This record gives sequence, structure tokens and C-alpha cells, in this order.
Amino acid sequence: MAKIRRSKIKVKPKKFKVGDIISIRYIVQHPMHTGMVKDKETKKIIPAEYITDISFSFEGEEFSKMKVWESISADPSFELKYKVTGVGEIKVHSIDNLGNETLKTKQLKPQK
Amino acid sequence: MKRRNFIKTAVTAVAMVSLPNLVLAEDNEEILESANKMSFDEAFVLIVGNNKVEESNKVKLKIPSIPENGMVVPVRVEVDYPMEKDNYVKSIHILSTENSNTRTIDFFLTPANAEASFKTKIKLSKSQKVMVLVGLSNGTFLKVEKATKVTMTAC
Repeated sequence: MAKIRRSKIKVKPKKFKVGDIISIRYIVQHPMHTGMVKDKETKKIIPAEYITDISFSFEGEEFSKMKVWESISADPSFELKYKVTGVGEIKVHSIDNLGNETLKTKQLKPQK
Repeated sequence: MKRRNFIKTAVTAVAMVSLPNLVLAEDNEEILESANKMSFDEAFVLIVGNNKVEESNKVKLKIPSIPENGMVVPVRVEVDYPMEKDNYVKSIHILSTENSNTRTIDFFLTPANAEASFKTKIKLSKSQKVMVLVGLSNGTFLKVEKATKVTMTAC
């Protein structure tokens, strides 16, 4: 069963123009289980479940990607920079080791 | 290897904290390893290959020297380097030198990022040095590292 995980794309500052460098923060709900921890009650190892890859694109063109490992904190957040080239859609796609995917988009609307 | 032994002996004893409903593996006297287990030396070679590596103060690594919580350690990397078409920061790698899998994240950039800057949060299994490797488009790598003292541990 595919799990639906919430994710958010936050852009700062709120107002920007073409040519400005913005900050993009991607936050996604995910337990990031390392597969090395036992549940105290069941005594069984909680199976590894963690994001492995994230791709950032603008209008279909990838501008950043990440190879993510299990040592990243639960409910991870990632912040990077991006130079605005025009109006368009930012898309962030993430996938975990079990094949569960999350897709989030955000429209960039630079001021004139 | 000498330096790593020095680091190991210099590190303070870590207080293991039991999290609600979770027992860290060591309590059951079993050593659990990551399925992606990779030592620092192996990860370093895998990332850098035969390329030149230089210590550089152009790479700023911000990480608390005594993180409040080993499960959520904020890491911030800023590289003072151009992001032009043929001369840019291609990758930023964060290595936790003592975690079972020392790799935490490999971030790949393009000139479209305009600034080589990155923030995330990592888990640290114990007190250790965190190293950042920055790969440039010309093939060289820059490196910087910082020690952390973790009292409330992770994974």
C-alpha cells in the first residue's frame, strides 16, 4: 500500500524578482527508520524505511538532486538556494527505499 | 588511522538515553549495523576517488559543538565559490565519521542554484567529527570538519 506523506515547499523571501536568489526549503513527513533500532514492546527491529532520493526541478528541468541516507533526521528538511529565471513551477519529488514516492509543486511568481 | 585512534580516545563517554518505546540496540548486547554500512575511510575514497582534496576555509560548516539532541543535529554548509557555467560547486557531501553508515547526504548542485549553500538535520550515533566534502566542477574536493560531543544519541 502506497503511503501518502505530506510535504511542503517554502520559499523565502515572499516577494522576489527574476534574477533574485531565493531560499527553497523542502520539508517532508517521514520516519527515516534506520533499521538499527528495536521496538521496546515487540523486541523486534523496526524495519529500515528512509528517503533515498530527492529531485528538484523547475519547469521540468532538474536543478538539484540529493542522495539521502538513513542518518538524516526524521521528518527531514532540506534548504537550498535557487536563482529565479521566470514564472513557473518548482517540483520536488522524493522516493524512499520501499518505493514510496512524494511529489510536491509550487508556483514561482516573481514580481515585475 | 593514527588520527582516528586519537579521536576515539579523546572523545568523552557518552550517556545512553532510552527513548520512550525504543531500546537502542546496545542495551540488548547485539550490535546492529546499517544495511548500508560504510566506514569513513571507504566513504571518503568512494566520493573523492583519485581527485585532489584540500582543506579550505572557503567552506563554512556550522554544526553545534554540543548538540542538544543526537537525533536532530542541524548542519549548515556555505561555500564561498562561484556558481558559473564552467566553474561551480558540483556536490556537497556530509559524512558522520562514526555512524555505521558514515554517509548522511550527497547533495548535487548546478549553476542554477547560484549559491552553494545547504541546510539539513542529521542523526549522530555518538560524539564524533562531522566532515564536509565539497566537489568542484574541475574535479578537486575541498574539505572541512568539526567535532561534536553528543550526549543524547541516535540510531
